[in-house]
Amino acid sequence: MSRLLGGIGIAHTPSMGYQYDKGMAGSWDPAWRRWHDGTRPIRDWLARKAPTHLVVIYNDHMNYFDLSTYPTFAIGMAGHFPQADEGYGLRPFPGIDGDPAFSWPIARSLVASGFDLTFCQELELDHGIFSWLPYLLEPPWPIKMLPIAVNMLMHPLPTPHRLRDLGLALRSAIQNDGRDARVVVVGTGGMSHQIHGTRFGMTNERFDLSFLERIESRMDELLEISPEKLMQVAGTEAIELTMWYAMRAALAPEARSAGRFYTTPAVTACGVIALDEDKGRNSGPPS
Amino acid sequence: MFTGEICSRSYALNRFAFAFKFPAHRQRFAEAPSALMDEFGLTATEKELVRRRDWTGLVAAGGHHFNIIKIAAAVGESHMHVGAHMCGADWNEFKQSLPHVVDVMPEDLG
Repeated sequence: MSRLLGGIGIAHTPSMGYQYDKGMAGSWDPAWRRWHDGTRPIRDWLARKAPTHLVVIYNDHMNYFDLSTYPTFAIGMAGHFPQADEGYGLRPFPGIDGDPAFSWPIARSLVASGFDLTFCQELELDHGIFSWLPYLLEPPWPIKMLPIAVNMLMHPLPTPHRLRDLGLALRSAIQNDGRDARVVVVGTGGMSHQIHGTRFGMTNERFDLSFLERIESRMDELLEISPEKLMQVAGTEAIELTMWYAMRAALAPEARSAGRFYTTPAVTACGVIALDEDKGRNSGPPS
Repeated sequence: MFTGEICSRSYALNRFAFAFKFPAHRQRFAEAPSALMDEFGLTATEKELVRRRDWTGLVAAGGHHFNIIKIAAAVGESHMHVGAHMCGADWNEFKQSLPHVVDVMPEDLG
């Protein structure tokens, strides 16, 4: 069976990617430099874990899927995922490879668990993945990716509990896939932010810091927050945080933080946490 | 909040706005906006909102903001410009004022 090494919850936003490219070209915005520096320990943790595969729960932002056919859950089965052009041209990164031989057993198990996913033989990935990816890994990408896209744009959205259940199903799928991959699960969504309407540009640091703390070992409290209340206190687009629940639920309850960071460089609050399966497992032989 | 019901009502507008992802669509809009909007079946009201660059009105009319910002980008306005328009604020003052920090927890809402 494949081995789950841990998980990462991380924000995404278009400017995170754009500012990375600017920074690498020699002119970091100080606010984004802070994010870059703050994510270094997470990058180092990921390098130490040396996963072969990342399973990423994310959302597209009308950059690949349009409203003509909008899947609630879609899973990318391709051998390669190009970058989506968001209208400003492609960024200086290659697309990322998938691994159908790894992905199909997991997809089959998820369907058996009640998750009737839309299978995508083609899928372009937008800033939901490519904005944070270069902060944590460098091309040529050293991992294969299995992306799972969740509808976060058109209500009704899947519920927080449904995303928790997706994570539980994912854990079972990975651990019973008959393969020997080393897997890290990523859940990505902007922390507090609202980017339309009269509350455009709102953030809520107190809520976000509490979320980062509670996602480690008290997710049950987060699950009790209704989507309506979550959107009210953290902004309508902060509903993306519910995708972090899938990541957390895919890990053992005993998994513990290996590092976290929070800053607000622009209009989307940016947080990250790494959760290590082996932390908190103080006795017994390593599995 | 963008719901399925809104999508059903304003599908043509969203389809039109999404297509700004493609360079050929942007080019056609620059050359003959009215003909393009007719082709996509926009209502007279929607066409007028597009002509006036009324981003707030377009979202109120059922455009998803991720689609509407594609039209804005094509005419040289960023997502932040759209935000300032929605808040009825001067762009220069608006960008200095961000983010607008609130301090409320779910349990405070009762």
